[in-house]
Amino acid sequence: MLVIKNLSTHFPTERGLVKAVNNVSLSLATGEILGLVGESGCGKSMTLLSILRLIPFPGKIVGGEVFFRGSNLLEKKPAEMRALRGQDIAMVFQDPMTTLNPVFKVGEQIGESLRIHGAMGKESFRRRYGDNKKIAEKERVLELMKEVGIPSVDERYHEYPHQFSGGMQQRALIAIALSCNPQLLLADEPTTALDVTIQAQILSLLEQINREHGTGIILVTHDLGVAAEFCQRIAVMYAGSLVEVGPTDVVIGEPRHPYTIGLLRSIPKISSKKEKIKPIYGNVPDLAGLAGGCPFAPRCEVVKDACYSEDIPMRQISDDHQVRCLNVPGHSV
Amino acid sequence: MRLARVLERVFVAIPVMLGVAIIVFFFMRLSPGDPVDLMMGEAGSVSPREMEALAREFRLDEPLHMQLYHFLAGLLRGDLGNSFVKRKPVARLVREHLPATVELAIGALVIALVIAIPIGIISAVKQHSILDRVSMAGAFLGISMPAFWMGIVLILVFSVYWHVFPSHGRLPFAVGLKTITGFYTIDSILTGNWSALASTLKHLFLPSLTLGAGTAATIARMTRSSMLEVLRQDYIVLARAKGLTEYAVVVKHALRNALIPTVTIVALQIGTFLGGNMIVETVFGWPGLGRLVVDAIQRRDFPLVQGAVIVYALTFVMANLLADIIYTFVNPKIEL
Ligand SMILES: Nc1ncnc2c1ncn2[C@@H]1O[C@H](COP(=O)(O)OP(=O)(O)O)[C@@H](O)[C@H]1O
Ligand SMILES: [Mg+2]
Repeated sequence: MLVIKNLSTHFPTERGLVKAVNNVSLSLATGEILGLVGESGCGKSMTLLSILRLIPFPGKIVGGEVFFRGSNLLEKKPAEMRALRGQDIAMVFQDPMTTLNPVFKVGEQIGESLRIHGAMGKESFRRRYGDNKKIAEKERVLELMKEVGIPSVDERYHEYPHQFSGGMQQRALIAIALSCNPQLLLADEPTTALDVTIQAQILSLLEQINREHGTGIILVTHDLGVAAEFCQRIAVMYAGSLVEVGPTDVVIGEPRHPYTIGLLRSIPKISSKKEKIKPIYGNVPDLAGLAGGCPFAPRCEVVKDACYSEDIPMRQISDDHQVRCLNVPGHSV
Repeated sequence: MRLARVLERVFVAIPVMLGVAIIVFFFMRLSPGDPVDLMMGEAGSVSPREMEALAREFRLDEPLHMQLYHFLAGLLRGDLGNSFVKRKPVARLVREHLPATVELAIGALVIALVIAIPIGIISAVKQHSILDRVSMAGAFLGISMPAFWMGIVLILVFSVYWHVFPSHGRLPFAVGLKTITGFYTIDSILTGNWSALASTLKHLFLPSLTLGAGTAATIARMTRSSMLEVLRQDYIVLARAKGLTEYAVVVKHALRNALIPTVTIVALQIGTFLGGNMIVETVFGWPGLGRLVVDAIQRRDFPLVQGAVIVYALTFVMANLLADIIYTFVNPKIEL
């Protein structure tokens, strides 16, 4: 359903060119949940925003293709892009507290996407909610609010965002994303800003949506554990590039890239024996003016001289497992 | 609930205004220059007895605390006293001159808003563009140019050279407008006197522009900076991700938020427009409260100055209250 080929998004900054998304290739099958994992600042959000073509100034998509249902989004006219946003491709953001508009009532904000895309005029909606657009819209909004687990919807409909808790705000934002039945949901760290117990609820809500509506989801997270639990496939990102992509059990069970291995070792496990967690030494590199070669080389335990000089291609090491590392044999894709 | 809060605020304002009245009472009497001397100086040679009679009439021969007592007692009865110079009740003089001042203030406000808000929005949306730079330079000029200077320049250009706008007064006498409310725009509409309306608006333009320029500049800069701030917010990204047009993103989602601080400033400016227009009224010969007060100060017309200052204090208090009330309407997070 979604095929991204060699996508690059750059930010010219005073300190140099930031390749926030560097030659990223990725695909998502219909109804699949893909985890996009990496440390903060590695380009996960910019990858999602590139798909919607909403990169903030001064950033720019400088190359690549993004095929959605067969056609390249990067070649679409602005009006065609707007028709897709919120209708076929919806996004859920990281910080629910700042993502709802503080001056509009929540019900009104959920209904807005329906209005923009003329959803209530569509045959399928008319049959279900009736011909009176105003009543139909409210019906639909209340139904969405119930679906995402907002209690006492009749009152909540008329409340302002600041009257909602963080978890409830994120549910409202998910309701906004779901309103037009999108095929693709881009979830950008939807639980990072929430309490742990709420996190689990929101994630299982996303899983339920995926199950019931067949919505394809790219779930961005910095938590490999979350990705392992909810995703069929995982893509690991480091400093703007993908370093390893594969099915969840492969990436978690037999990781090949030193960064993925390091990430897995640095997750604290809940178990009776006290295993030592091993952090990855060093810091996330500054993306500005990053030289060629493997960006992970300075922190890598198995680094070779060649790692610094060559641009390392993504290699196919089995049917569905790709790794970008000189130490891992395989054929280039 | 809301009404109770508003009333509470109004009651709190009463002692403030009383304090203002007392301070003005003392300052007028502490400043050098005696009203009787000034009046007599104009009349030419006068006998000491005539001067005494005048002082007695104005109660200036009584001790200060008795004068204050009479003043405050009058206030409680709603009596602002009589003007020394004009020999008329202060309340009536204020009432006669207030409409001109209010009309000018509204003109200034309208001009400020109509110029400033679109400029602020466009400058933010097209940040660093030529238009942004030019209008921000203009705003800088608007803030730093003193009103008397700007008034004179406008008169020179638009009245003296181009003859497009009149430079003086509210309306030529010959137009013959029947006054009902004292607001010439309203009166000319009420009486269907369209030529008077056109003339009134023309007379209003330059003084309104002069009075509103500084505020327009402030509002433009404020709108721009709060718009820039708002456009960076996450909810703007969400609005775009919903599929809204850029116009709807800016005008619906961003502007409502960006105007929250602006609205407060605008409401506060109303107080300044009413109380800070002495210079503009003087430059344009505008027969409003400002000019009346300047005149009264020069002639040490104590009751008139006191009365006018009370009116000013009242407008400032009301403007503040209005700002707070409007703020609660535009910002759902705040309750009065
Ligand atoms: N407005 C911007 N100006 C300059 N650089 C930016 C801007 N936004 C993002 N970046 C760069 O893009 C990189 C990736 O950002 P982002 O995709 O938000 O990371 P993530 O979502 O993985 O935490 C950041 O390291 C940052 O350097
Ligand atoms: Mg992010």
